[in-house]
Amino acid sequence: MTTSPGGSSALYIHLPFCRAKCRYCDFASFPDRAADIPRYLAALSLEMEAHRDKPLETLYVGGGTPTLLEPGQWRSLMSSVRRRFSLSGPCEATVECNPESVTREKLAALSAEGVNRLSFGLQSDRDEFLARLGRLHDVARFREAWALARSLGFSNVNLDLIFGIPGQTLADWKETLDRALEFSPEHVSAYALSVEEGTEFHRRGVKPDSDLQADMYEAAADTLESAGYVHYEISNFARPGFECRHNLRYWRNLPSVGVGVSAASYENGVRRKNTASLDDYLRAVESGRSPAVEEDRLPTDQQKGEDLMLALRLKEGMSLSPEMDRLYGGVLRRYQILGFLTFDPTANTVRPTRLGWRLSNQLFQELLTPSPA
Amino acid sequence: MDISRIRNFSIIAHIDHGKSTLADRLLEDTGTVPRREMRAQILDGMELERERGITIKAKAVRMLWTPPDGPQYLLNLIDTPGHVDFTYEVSRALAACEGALLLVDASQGVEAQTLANALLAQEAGLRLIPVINKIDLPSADPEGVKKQLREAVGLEGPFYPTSAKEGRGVLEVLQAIVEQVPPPRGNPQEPLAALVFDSVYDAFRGVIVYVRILDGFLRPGMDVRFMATGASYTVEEVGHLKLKYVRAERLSAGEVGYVVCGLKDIHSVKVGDTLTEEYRPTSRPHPGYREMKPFVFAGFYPMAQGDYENLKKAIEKLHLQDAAFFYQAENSVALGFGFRCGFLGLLHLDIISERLRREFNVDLLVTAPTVIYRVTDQTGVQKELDSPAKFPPHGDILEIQEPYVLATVVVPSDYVGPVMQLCQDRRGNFLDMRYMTPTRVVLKYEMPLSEIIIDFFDQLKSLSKGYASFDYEHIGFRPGDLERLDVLINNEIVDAFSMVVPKAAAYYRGRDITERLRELIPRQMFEIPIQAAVGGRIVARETIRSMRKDVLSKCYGGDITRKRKLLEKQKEGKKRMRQFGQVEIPQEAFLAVLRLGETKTEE
Repeated sequence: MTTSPGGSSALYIHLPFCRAKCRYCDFASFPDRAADIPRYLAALSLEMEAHRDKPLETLYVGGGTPTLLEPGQWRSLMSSVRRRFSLSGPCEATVECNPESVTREKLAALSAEGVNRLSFGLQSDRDEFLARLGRLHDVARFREAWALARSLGFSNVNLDLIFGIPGQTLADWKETLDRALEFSPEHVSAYALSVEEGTEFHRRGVKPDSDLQADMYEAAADTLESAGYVHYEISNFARPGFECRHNLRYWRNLPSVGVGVSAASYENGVRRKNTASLDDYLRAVESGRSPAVEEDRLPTDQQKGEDLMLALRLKEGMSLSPEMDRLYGGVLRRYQILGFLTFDPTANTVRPTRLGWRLSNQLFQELLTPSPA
Repeated sequence: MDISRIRNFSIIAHIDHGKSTLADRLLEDTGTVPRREMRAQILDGMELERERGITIKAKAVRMLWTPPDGPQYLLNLIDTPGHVDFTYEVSRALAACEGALLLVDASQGVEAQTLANALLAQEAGLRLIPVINKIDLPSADPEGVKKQLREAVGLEGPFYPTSAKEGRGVLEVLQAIVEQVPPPRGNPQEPLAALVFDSVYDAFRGVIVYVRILDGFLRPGMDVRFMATGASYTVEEVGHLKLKYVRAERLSAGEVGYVVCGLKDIHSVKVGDTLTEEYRPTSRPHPGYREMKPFVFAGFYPMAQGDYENLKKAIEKLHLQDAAFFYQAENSVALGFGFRCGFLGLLHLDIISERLRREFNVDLLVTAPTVIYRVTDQTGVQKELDSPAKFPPHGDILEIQEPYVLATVVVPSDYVGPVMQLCQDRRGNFLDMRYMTPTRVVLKYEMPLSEIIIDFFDQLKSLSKGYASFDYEHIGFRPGDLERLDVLINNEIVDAFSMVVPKAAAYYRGRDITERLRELIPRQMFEIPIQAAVGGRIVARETIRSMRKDVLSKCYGGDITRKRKLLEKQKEGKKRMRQFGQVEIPQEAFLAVLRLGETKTEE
C-alpha cells in the first residue's frame, strides 16, 4: 500500500447506463438511455475540462454497466481523461465489468488504454440466485469473460460477491466462496445484500435475515483469510499488494474527483455531489454550469471524526493524535471494552476487530460529532 | 322575594337526554335570557362541555317567572355536573335544592346514571318531577319510560311529556316546579348557615364561592368562617347568579348566590363545607361534609422534555381553577420530569388532560391510570400510595387494600350474559339483578375501581352494541389479593413499568408485558433479558437477542456524504430512546405499556 504522493489525485467516472436495473440496485443507472452515451461522453469531457491538471494515482470507472461502451467509445473517454489528467505508469486504473457485455474487443481496448485492473460483478455462482438478483449474466457467461480477461493479461482482477440473497443458505454461500476461489482472483469484495428504498427488492418487501448475514460474513472472513487473502477493509479482501488503491484513498480521506451523474468529489475539505438526474446533468454541463447539487464542508472537529470513521474501516486503523484522542478517545475506549477495537499503546494506534466491523454502524454513529471527555 | 315563593331545583338526566336544551328553554320562557341573546346550551360555557354534551362545572341561574294566574316566583336552577366522577359534588348541589326534574329521553329510557342520581335526590329528600323528553322523536315510547320510572325509581304520575327542542311542554314543567317543589325552609333571623356547593377561580376577584343560604343571611362586611376548614374571612361582595355575577345587598335564607371574601386559593374552599358567622356560629352545619380525595392517578409528562416548564405553568393554572385536581412533581426514569396527578375519576382525568392540550397547548403524554392503594407493612403502619413505584419491598407488605365501587349497569336483557361475564372477569361481586321492564335489566356489582378505570366502559359499550349504561359510587377500601409486578430489563427493575395486579393474573400480565417489550425494544449490542417478577420470583421471561450485524452497504464512488446521512438518520432514531443502564429503550415501548387506554388485558 502506498500513501498519496503530494498533489496527486483520484478520478472516479460514473457511467449511468445499463440494460436492466438489478433488483437491489439503488445507484444512478438508466436502462433505457443507451442512445445518450455519445452525448454523455461529450459532457464528461466538458466536466473534466473544469478540473485542474493533476497526476492521477488512481482511476476508477463504475456504473451502471461501463462495459456497455463500445471500444471506440472507450478510446474517446480515455482520451478525454488524458487531456486533463496524467495517467502515468503507477496509476491504478479500474473498470467495472458486467460479464454479459464483455467482449474480447472491449477488453483489448481497455488494456490498450492503460486499464490495468478489472472488477467483475460475479455476485453469485448459481444461475438461480443470479436470476433472483435480476442479473443478466449466467455462470457460464462469467467463465468466458473471466478467461478472456486472463488471456488478455489482466493480472489484477476483483470479484464482487453478494451474500444474503433471498433463499440463499449459509451452505450455499460457503459453496459460492469456494467456487469463487477456484478463479484465483487477486481481490474479492463481499457485500451483504441491503435492501434500499426505491429498489425492486424493497417494493417486493424483501427483508434480509441479519443473523444469517452475520454468519455469512464470518464465513467469508474465515474462508478468504485461510486462503491467503488479507481482510483489509470491512467488505474487502486482497492478496498482499493487491488492495484496491482507489478505495484506500477514500478510506484514508484523501482528495478525489468524481465526474458524471451522481459522482462525488472531495477537494480542499469540501465534498460535492453531482445531480442524480441524467437530464439535469447533461443540461448543466452543456450550458457551462456545474452539475453539483450538494456541497458540504465539515467543521474541523467533525472532519477528524470522519477521518477516524473512515480509517476504522481499514485493518490498518489509525494513529491517534492528542487532539483526536481528546475529541473521540472516550467513545473509542467504550467500544474497546465492547470488543470493537484494539489499542496499540506504543504507536497509540487504534484498530478495528472483526466484531467491530460487523457492527460498525453502532460505533460510526458516535463519531459523527465529537464528545470530548 | 318572600321565601314561600322561592323554588330551588336541579335537573337530573343521563348524558344526551336533553338537559341543557331543557335548561335553555326554561331560561328563554322565563325571559331570563332574551331570545336574541340565546344560544344553544348556554349554561355549558366550556367548549369541552358543549362538544361532549356533559356538564363539567356546577352552575346556578336565577330566573323569575310569573304563572298565568298568580304572583311572581323566584326559580333557582342548580345545574349539576353530569358524571359519576363528581357524585359528591352532585350530592352537594342536590342538597342545595328542594326538588329536581328527573329528565328521561323518551326513546332511550332510564339509564344507569338516571338511577344513581335519582337515588341521590331521593336520599336528600328532594321532590322528583318526572319529565319525559324528546317526545317528538319517531322512536319515542313515553308509556314504556313511565313504566320504567315506576318500576325502577318508584315514581308515580303525573309525568310531564316535553320536547325541549321544539319547546313543547315547558310551561307545564314550570307550573309543576312552582306547584310541587316545596319552598325552602330557613329562618333569616337565625345564625348564618350557608352550604358551599361549588367554587370557581376568577383571576381578578379570587375565589368565588357558590352558596345556598340555609339560615340567616349574608351581606358585605360580615365576618364569616368556613366550619370544616376553620378559615375566617370578611365578606366583600355577595350577589345572584344570572349567567353573569349580579351584585346584591344581601342573600337571605332560601336563596342561592355567590360570595367573594378575599380568598385566593381555591383549595382552601371545600365543597360541602358550611359557611357561618365568625362570632355567632350556627349550631346546625350542613351534614355529610366529606373531604374530596383523588382516587385515580396518572403521570403527566411533556412529550418533549424541553416543554417541562410550559407544562408546569399550565398545570399550576388549572390547579388554581379546579379544587379536585391534585398534582405533585415526579421524576420517572422512563419519561423524565413530569407530574403525578390525582383525579376524582377517569372522566376528570380526561377533562384535565384535554384542557391542558387545548387551552394551554401542551403536548402531553399521559400514563395509564392507576388507583390509590392502602398498603400496610409488617410493622402495622398503613400508607396510601398513589404509585406502584412507591410500594415497600415485597416482603415488607402485610396487606394491600384497594378502592371499591358499587357499580350499577343498566342493560337490555339480551346482553345481560356478556355484561355479567365482563363484570365477573373484572373481579366483580354480584349483588343484585332487577328487571325494570321485561327487556331492561339493572345489575349491581361491587368492583375494584382499578378494574373499571381502564377500558371497562368501552368494553361494556361494545358488548352491548352501545346500549348498556354504567354508573358507580365509591364504597371504600377492601383488602385485595394483590401484588406488585415488576419488569426487569437487563436485570434491573424499570420503575415506570411496575404495576399492581391480582395474584391470579400476575403470570398473564407478566407474559403480556414482556412479550410486548420484546417486540418494541430493538436488538442491541448484547443480549437483553426482559423479565416480569413478583417479589423475587420471575413469572415471565423473554430475551432480546444481541444484534449481530449492522454494516452499511457498499460505499459507492466515494460518496461519504451519503454514508454520513444514513448514519445520522440511524443516530436520530436512537435519540428518541431513553438510556436505561446499558439498554436503550424507545419511547414507543414506554408508550405502549404506559399510555392511557392502550393497556390490553388478557385474563
